[in-house]
Amino acid sequence: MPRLDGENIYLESVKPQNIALIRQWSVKTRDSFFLNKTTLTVSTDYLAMLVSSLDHQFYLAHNRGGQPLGVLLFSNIHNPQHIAEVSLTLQPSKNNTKLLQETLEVGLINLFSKTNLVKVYCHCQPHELELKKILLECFFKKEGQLNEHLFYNNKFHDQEIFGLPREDYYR
Amino acid sequence: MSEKITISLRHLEKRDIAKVAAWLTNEDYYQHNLTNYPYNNKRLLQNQLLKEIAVGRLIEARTRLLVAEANGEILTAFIALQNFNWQNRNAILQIYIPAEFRSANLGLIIVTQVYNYIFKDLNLHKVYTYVSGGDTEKLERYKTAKQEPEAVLYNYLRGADGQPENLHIFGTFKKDVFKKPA
Repeated sequence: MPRLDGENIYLESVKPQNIALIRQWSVKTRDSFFLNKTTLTVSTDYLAMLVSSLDHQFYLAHNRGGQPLGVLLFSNIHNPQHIAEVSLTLQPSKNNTKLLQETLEVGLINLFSKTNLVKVYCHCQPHELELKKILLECFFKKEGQLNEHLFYNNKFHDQEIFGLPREDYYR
Repeated sequence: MSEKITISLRHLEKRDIAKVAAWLTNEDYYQHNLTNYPYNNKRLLQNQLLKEIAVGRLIEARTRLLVAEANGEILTAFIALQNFNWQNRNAILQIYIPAEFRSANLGLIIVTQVYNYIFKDLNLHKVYTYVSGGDTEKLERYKTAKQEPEAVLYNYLRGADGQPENLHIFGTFKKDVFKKPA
């Protein structure tokens, strides 16, 4: 996948040598990026699968200085309903609103222009205020909240669903 | 003289496939259920059911297929538990009762058995039901029961006529099913 350039960030495909860094982030954080799929500490096998999978676009976001900031993942790109999922995180998790928004926008521009996807979903948790703010800025709409959907730290947590139809993005 | 009817649940077996495949290729099934099963290809459907029976025997299988049997002889319902998430203890439930067995009493007994299996035997925390926006009959039943969807995914599905339809997601908690009356 080619490098995607933004004003303050650029995205490059995750390589196998980046997996250890991403795992380190998953140990320290409870962002929905690491919680949506399976385990709390995302496994090396799972990350390796994402790197090699044709059904995913997995990017590492860097600042202009080349420092890795976080990850952006598009999943289910080739599903027959043409509906994909996005999840992203920048580390550290807070005070990165502008960069997070730019990361998402750069990824979405590329995704919608190169594929025939009609909609993208993002699942996040109610406490991820920064991410939710960015989703709304990027014209995502909240379509529901699954109560007590995720289980970690010995209790259940809600999960919110945001959706972005292609025509809303281009509008 | 009325005969007592006992309903029991068991896992779908190879001997049930012919009967269940006939149900799942019936238009009645497709009008009222969302499914990924290949309804217009019985052979493909039977192969898929066989595969799911085999995989469903694994402890952490993501799909379990069950049938409800009346008096140990007559199949009366097909139950699919899909997208098991053992970490979060939830799954997606689908119950199909063919038209000839649809009566209020039988339906209630089957649903009770299914909930007992899901929440007591499997110890799940929550189960989801997906309903298409075009299935107004089912949505009306939920509305009458004063149950709101937790999410409505807009234009997520394509109806039989190719028009986009919403997907309504309803959730049922173990604590709500077994709560003691006030």
